[in-house]
Amino acid sequence: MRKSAMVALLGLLSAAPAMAQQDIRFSGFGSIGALYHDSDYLGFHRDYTMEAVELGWSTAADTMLGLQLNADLTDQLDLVGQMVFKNRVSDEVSDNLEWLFLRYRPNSDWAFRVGRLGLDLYMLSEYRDVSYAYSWVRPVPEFYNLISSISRYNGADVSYRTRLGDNIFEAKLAYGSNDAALQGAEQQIDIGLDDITALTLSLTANEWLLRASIANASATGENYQTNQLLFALRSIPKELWPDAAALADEIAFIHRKSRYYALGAQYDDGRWILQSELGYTETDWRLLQPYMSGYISLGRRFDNLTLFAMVASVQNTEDAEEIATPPSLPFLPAEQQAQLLALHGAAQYSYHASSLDQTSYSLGARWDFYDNMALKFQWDHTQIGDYGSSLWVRDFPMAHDDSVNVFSINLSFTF
Amino acid sequence: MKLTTSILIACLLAAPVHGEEALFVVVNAGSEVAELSHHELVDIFMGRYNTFPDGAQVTVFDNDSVQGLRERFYRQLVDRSLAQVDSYWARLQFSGRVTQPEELGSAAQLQEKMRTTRSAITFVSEGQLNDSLKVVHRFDP
Repeated sequence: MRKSAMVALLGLLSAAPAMAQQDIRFSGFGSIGALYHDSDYLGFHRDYTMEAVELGWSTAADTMLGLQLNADLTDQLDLVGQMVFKNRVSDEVSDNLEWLFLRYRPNSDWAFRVGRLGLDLYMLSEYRDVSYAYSWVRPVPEFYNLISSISRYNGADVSYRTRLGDNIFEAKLAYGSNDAALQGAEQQIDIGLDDITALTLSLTANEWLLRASIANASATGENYQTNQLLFALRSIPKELWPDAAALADEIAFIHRKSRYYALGAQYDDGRWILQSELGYTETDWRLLQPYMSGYISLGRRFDNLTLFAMVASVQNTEDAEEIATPPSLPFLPAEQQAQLLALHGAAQYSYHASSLDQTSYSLGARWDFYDNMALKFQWDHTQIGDYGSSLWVRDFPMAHDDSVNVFSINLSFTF
Repeated sequence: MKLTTSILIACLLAAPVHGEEALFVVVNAGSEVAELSHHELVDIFMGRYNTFPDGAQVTVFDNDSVQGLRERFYRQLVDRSLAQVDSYWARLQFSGRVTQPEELGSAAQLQEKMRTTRSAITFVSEGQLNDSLKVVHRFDP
């Protein structure tokens, strides 16, 4: 699928000059960003599909380039391809293909798409890298970091729009699958999402946008350290640790059902911009405890200057489970005791590895100083609770709380 | 009283400097469309609907051939600055939903496109009106 999609896009790009000029449009977007963060222990990334940046100044976290091609094949059929180049975890060239889809619109109410698509699950999902389209430097990590693996997929969707008074109501149903290479808190992980099913409802008025969405997926993950842990747990004799095999089954990341729920609202009267989203995610996987995330941002425009303030938070709604020590422990020789305790520790550690507990306060400004160009500044102050730092990249889950400041400057543009 | 009068006169004199002649939303002269309401224009120019209210295909052209015209048009249409309109379009364009209207920088190009595209719609200043265009809405200054 990936390769053939690439070939199709390249073929289309080379065929482009042959087609009539008005049928083909090239456009693009990008941002050149620098950020400074002051944590010795934590690496920052805006989403799990990107590499993290260490203490100090860095331009890798927010600098990206997107290229888009729109081709109208007939009045009802069009093709859209987009490539986004950024500091991805994945080295595969084809992963830069953000989407490539065929769309059929028999009339202005219905649209059918097939190909690689953006999943319209959260408000910014489909334009999270288009910095020019929003006030902040980046989509708020408390909300958007975790869901990066489910922001695009290979599959199909259908949407229906209708007018409700002066408003437009839209319902969109999507189905597909996705693979992604993610940089987790301590380890890299290849994740596969199958049977992604998503429903999004939205209501658009002149000044308001309201959204509600729900999605299901079956997640499978592959990671070297987890495989080692599973192997060790499964090779322990039953007499030594009767629960070890069951524990391994809990830790194995195979076909775990995950469910996503989100609500969003935006108000923009030209001067004031208020935006908020609330999300809840749960999985059948013991290692990822259910969590709630949300943010609220208030902005005020003064001509070409926009000032904004934001609060964002993500918290687990359940604590990681404590694993009982093997009952055989007191009866074992010291050496075996130590080995078994180490294994118990590793299993317990994996339960804590995805814990989330952080809140950020942000202040920033956007200055539209020239056509299709904006300069942004932002300061984020993040407070992280005990073990709650899994949005960051670190050597070990810190058992103590911490706070981090991130300063960002960003030039975003479209062409 | 005298002061009020002179302020009034000053305002009247100043008015044409700010500018402002009427704006006209026009379609191809052969189009079936007779008149469009403000609300229908918002749907079309802001990419919410890609058809005229009767269901016929619409092709939007953004008229950038007259200094300041685009800015005035979007101010009248949705009371937003160009930066806001462009940012809004970045969201629609790059989420793959709707393609941003083609911007035409020269009057000749605009006339040519409007004359040859039956589904065309755009906005023009009074001086740009001609026989190949049909007015479907007028924005008074």
